[in-house]
Amino acid sequence: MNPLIQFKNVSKSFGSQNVLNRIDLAIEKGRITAIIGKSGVGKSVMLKHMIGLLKPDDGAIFLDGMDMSDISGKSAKALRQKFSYMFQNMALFDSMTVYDNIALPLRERDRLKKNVIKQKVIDIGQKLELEDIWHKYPSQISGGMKKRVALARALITDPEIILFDEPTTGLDPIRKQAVFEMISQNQKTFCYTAVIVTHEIPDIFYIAHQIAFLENAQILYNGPPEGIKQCTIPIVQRFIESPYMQKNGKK
Amino acid sequence: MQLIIQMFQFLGNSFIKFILELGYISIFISSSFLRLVQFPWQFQKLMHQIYFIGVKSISVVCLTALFTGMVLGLQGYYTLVQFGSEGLLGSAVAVSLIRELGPVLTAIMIIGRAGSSMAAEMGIMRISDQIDALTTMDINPKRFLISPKIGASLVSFPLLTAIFDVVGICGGYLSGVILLGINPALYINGMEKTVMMNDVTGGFIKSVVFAIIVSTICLYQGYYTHRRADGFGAKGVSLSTTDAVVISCVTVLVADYVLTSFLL
Repeated sequence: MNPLIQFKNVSKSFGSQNVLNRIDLAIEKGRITAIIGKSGVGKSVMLKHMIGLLKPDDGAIFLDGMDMSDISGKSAKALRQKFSYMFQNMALFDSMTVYDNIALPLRERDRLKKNVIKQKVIDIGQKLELEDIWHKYPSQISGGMKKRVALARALITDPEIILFDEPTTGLDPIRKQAVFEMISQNQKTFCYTAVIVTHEIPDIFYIAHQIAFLENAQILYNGPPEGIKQCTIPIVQRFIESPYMQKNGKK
Repeated sequence: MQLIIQMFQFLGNSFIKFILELGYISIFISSSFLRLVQFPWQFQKLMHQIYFIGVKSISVVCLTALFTGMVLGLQGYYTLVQFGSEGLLGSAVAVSLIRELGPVLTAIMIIGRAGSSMAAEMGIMRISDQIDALTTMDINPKRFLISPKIGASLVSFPLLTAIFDVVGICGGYLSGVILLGINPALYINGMEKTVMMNDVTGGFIKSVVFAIIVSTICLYQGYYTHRRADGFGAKGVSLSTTDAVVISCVTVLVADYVLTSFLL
């Protein structure tokens, strides 16, 4: 089976800093792929390449077998509509209310009727406990609430591919669990493809089908979550063991 | 020899940068204009921007116009009285306001009030990923954010210029007729005889050109604040806002000279 998203020899530098160096990665359709690694190694850069916000300096990214650099016009538009992206810093529109933030893609892109938009927004709001904050602005709500609003905005268009950039950072353990459960549950229901950039170990191992570990501009591990525990690369071991130790109270 | 090579290198680099920037601005403005007329039209957003750029600028434009007109009346009177031609005060005030001061000062007041705020708004949206978020939602940021502001500028600038002209003429009347005692009929008649339709059309053309210049430069500076090499984040936004105001003001004055030389 052809992968849905495929990185082939992708390199990206910012000035003298080489962030991605000849990266190869295949993301299967209808599965949850997690990209893990230390902060600042280029995980979000990978996500931005997938949605076309950044272009690779070298190599190519294929979507459904098509080179993304060759896609333009209506095909590019159709392609973008398959995606949804949840930004690390939420990227909520601070001059709009929570309701308008969530309704924006339905109103501006899909041009749905008001009552349909209202129903969809209320449905997703109930799932994410946002009913009390409809009329508030992003600056008036907590960081955790902002995360949920951003999540609602990402899910509201029922996309085929959702890219989550640290969706649970800043949430309390219960809501963190709830977000992961929701991603997993919705993924099973709607069969969307999810790519999650996260530091939440081991929680992500319970929902992800594939783990990619990024370090020093390269993918050091790419495989199922069960396999990463047996990985012999010291830096990977150190990275995945530290949260286990914290959770189990070991030194 | 080395110095000469360096000088040519510097000149060449600056010229290439200038041409590149000009290209970016041309693409920016043409794509924004195309989206302005693209169906479905964005009336609500356009009205909202007309309120912000136009209606909210009325008080500052009126105040500036009133005192500009009063100063013109005062200065004009003491100059003309030396030649016994104080009867020409009305025409002097009206012609200078309609042809030059109205469009230019209105543009400069809007740059200070709305232009700087447009640049800062775009800059903040850029650094907080809000513009990228629109792209990922397949909402064209230029259509959603830029086009209504350019459209609103095209409507607001000529109307505000007209208000400036009228209030300025009233200011001249206030200082010339009421304070310095010129015959009101002389003031009005002189104005009627001297001001031609060409003057009004010229002022209107200038205000439309200034609307395009100001909105494009201010929005462009904010929209591409992340491309700046000399400042990132909040500093980048502050530099973009400063540049937007300075470049817009200078360009308006240069364009005014060029337009005047064509319109005369």
